[in-house]
Amino acid sequence: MKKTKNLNRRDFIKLTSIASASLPFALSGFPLYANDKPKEYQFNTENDNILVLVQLQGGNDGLNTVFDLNQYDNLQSVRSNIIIPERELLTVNSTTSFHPAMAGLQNIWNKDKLAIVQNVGYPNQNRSHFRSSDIWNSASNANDFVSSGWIGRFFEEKHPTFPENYPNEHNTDPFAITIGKIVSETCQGNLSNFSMALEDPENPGTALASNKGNIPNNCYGNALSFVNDTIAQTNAYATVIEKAANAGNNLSEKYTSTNLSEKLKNVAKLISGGLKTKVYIVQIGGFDTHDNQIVEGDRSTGKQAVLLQELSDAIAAFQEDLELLNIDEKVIGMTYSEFGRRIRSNAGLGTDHGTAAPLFMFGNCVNNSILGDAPEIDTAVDEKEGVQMQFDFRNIYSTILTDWLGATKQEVTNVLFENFEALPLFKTGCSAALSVEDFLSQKLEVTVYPNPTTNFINITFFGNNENVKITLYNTIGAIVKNITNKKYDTLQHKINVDLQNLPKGNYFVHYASKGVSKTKKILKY
Amino acid sequence: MPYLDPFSGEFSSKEANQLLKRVSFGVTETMVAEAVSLGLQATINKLFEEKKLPEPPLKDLPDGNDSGQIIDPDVKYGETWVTAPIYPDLPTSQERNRVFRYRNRSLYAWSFLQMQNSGISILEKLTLFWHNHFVSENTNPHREYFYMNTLRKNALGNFKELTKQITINQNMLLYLSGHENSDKAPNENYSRELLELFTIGKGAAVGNGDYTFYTEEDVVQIAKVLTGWRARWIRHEDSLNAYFTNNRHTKGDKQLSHRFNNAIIKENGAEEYKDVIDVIFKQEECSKFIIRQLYRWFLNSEISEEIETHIIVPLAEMLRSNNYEVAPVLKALLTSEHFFENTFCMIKSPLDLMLSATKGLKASAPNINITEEYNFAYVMYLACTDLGQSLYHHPDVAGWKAYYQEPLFYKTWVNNYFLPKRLEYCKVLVLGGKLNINNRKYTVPPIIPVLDIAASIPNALDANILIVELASRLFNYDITQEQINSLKAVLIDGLPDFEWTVEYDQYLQEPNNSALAISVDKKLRNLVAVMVQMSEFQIM
Repeated sequence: MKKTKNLNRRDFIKLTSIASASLPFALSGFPLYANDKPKEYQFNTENDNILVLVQLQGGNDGLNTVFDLNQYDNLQSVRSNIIIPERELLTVNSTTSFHPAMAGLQNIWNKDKLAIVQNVGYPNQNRSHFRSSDIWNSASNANDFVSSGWIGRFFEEKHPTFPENYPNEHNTDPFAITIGKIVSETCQGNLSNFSMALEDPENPGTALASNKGNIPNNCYGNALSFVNDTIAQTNAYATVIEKAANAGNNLSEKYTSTNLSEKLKNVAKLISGGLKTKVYIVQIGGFDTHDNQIVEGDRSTGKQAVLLQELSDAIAAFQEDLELLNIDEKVIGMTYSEFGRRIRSNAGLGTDHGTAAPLFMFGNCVNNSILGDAPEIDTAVDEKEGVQMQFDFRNIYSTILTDWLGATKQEVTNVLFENFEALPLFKTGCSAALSVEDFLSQKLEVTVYPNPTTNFINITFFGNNENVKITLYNTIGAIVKNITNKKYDTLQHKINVDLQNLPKGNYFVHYASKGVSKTKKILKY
Repeated sequence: MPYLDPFSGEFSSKEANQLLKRVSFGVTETMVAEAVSLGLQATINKLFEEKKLPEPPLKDLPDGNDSGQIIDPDVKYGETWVTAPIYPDLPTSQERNRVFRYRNRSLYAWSFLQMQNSGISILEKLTLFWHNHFVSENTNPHREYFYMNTLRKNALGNFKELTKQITINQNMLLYLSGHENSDKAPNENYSRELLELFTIGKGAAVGNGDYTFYTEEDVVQIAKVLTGWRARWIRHEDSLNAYFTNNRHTKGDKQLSHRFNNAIIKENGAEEYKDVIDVIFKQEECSKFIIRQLYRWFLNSEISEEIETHIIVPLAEMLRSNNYEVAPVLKALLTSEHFFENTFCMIKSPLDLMLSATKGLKASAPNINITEEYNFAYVMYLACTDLGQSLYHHPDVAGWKAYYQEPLFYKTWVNNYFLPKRLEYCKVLVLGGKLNINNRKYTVPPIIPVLDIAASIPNALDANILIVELASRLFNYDITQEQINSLKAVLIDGLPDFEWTVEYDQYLQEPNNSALAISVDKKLRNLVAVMVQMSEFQIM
């Protein structure tokens, strides 16, 4: 039954080698940035930086992940049934601690390779898993529906015709790989998804390429060419992946048998095998802990503990592997989850959908730091309240795109639809980090008074010849007022805000300027 | 554009094929012929015939302790286990888990068999629709079976009534934390999905927790309405039915937002859930939402403004005037001009693919005894699971991405991981061989009766006619002459056409000549194996 050999005929070609169609533009290696590269960016032209995205599906409870000891007592009073005993926490610095399952990430912090960004979210938080994941993956405004992903649009800047004539002489390797069965929406372009789904790198799978019949100009033709293209690319990329998998290696002994550990192990192997893929996406599900987030009687165990352990151990093993393989200079990782959870726990030993949460970045070039403020916990917090956003996740995307993946400012604005300032997330001298002078260096002083208030508030701050954006949010993360969004000179400024039309309750004043963000809670009564 | 006007064209085998592919699984030439002779209206009536629930799943493994056998204290080989105690009385949890596992396996195989054995009936496609709409997961085989029974019983019935039943179904209470939802500890998990995924859908976020059709406040209030419902412990004598406990229920009236005209749900204890569902179903959007879901399930993922105006809105109106009975609306859609005018471009789900490559090709699935019958069905279930469509185990509460994730929709079934497997599985089912599923190999005999298929084609002596007719059965649209030529080259290895005619004719003269039969079978099998790997076969 070897008749399939017939398929080697002209019309039934089994593509086992890379198509060598010629390319319209001549770029060597992985394309880095357009010719309009601003002078202040110090990229080397062979930027081979790699980004690993770790998606925590379900909405991780950030308040049970990173603890601030100054807030611990207040937190205890609003989630007395699930809070982890203070003595069991792992120390990060004098005021910050981790969940006891996170020794791995603590270790990376101790190695000076971990950034913790507090309170990451977006304006007008959507509390649906699916919609909020779409928002994070597409990097759209909460109110816009965008079906492409941020990584996909980034690749599209340089490769607008993908997938036609890819791979080719200059782009031999997949742009992105999702380890798993389904491609990540982050990589969705307007024409096609830039990532491959890969379960087993040693056996990426090949497919029979049937001859192409008529491609009518309707949805049938569209579906047909989608299948045809998938076949062609599968076959073309299979060879390079297999080669990299065979040439690659793993040196860390710390990998375990968890799913995430296996996935990251494969990523390390492919990178060490020389695959030039820029972005890898791995996912870990199960963070939707509406109930039994912890085990009563032994609170450092339970659903979330198991997940944090898997996450933290897998990342620690991966990071160590990169170091042993001597490829740690070119890889960073970032975790993200569609939302954090409510501040108050529910009585089912769980937590419901909330707002912002901390996010981790790891890698040699990551600036070991805690960016942002510990969430302030009010013991009288409303049952619907989540952690208020301090940083928009798109500020982080923007930083990664310019400082790590080598996009120009203009490209990033195209990708993210508007301009988002970069944050000091990378070490200087490493990668292509922006110069530190770009960030506001003086201590930020924003005051809001009177607080509590009945009818109005005053906001005072010093300008810095930079744009200042001040927004008023309610307790579920929805914008209730855009207060200002313009450039302010170096004097002290005062803005009077009328609150008479707003219902009584808690609100948050969010201040953002040149990579610095602050949130102040106010009470209107 | 006559849209929902009744289809006035000829209901030929082409139309019958298109219709049956979308409403049933694995369409055979016999089904098409029957539909054509019935005509469209009678075919529709047959599709929607009410059916008794199928015979329940059986213990498919022989009694004993050897490999491939199992002792179930309450069930003998060939009997059903669904009437046996839900919690078998066995000394160790290991033994109990073995019993649970064979029951799960029997259920999954049985569920596949329902699709495999269904003829001209929309019941199984609709049951699967509701399975993907009201996603709920539970590992206990009894709980899984009875949940699916609820869906199957109501599949052709009333959407509002089904929503009420599901809301207090113990599987759903366990799956979306309704069981935990109490006055002291409200849990919004179910109330959020009830609105977002099950009934009204999420509109644009217009600020302050308002999603156009409902608000965050509604999520909170509806959670309160639903407090007090509990699932029973598995060892309880009535463990399959939920119960209401008033002391966990939030007392007093609950008020919804302006999105529901500030409706007040009066304190009504155990009946309150029905009141709130009635309020939700009064919203026009609720009817439009489910019509869009059905449209995506049966027709197309793209809903243009034109479709919204001329198809969705009028059907939604019809659904409301029928008090949410789904059958009349579906009948209208499936007999409309629009249905048959539409371009058929849906990428097959794994279940559609596997069944079109077996049942659709007249495969005689092994059925010498129930062990074999279930075994094969279970392997098919595993294959579909491996291709991303696992019965009873959705990726999450939103169901399979193919039916909601923009912009890919059905294309999520086809990526560089799934596609090679889809092609390989189809090929192995035709040629016979080993199905490699999750690193385990399952031997499949060549179950496609290619000689019978050829025999059903008039003038199959002509290689061109043979191929064109096969293509018209397997694919939605005609293939090109160039493709036909390539396929002929597969059939007769590049020889002139008459070589096929001569050889097939010889076989027809001497059907008992086994050397000839083998030779012709091999040629035909190779041809079909290539055709099921063509991109055209991925689409229905």
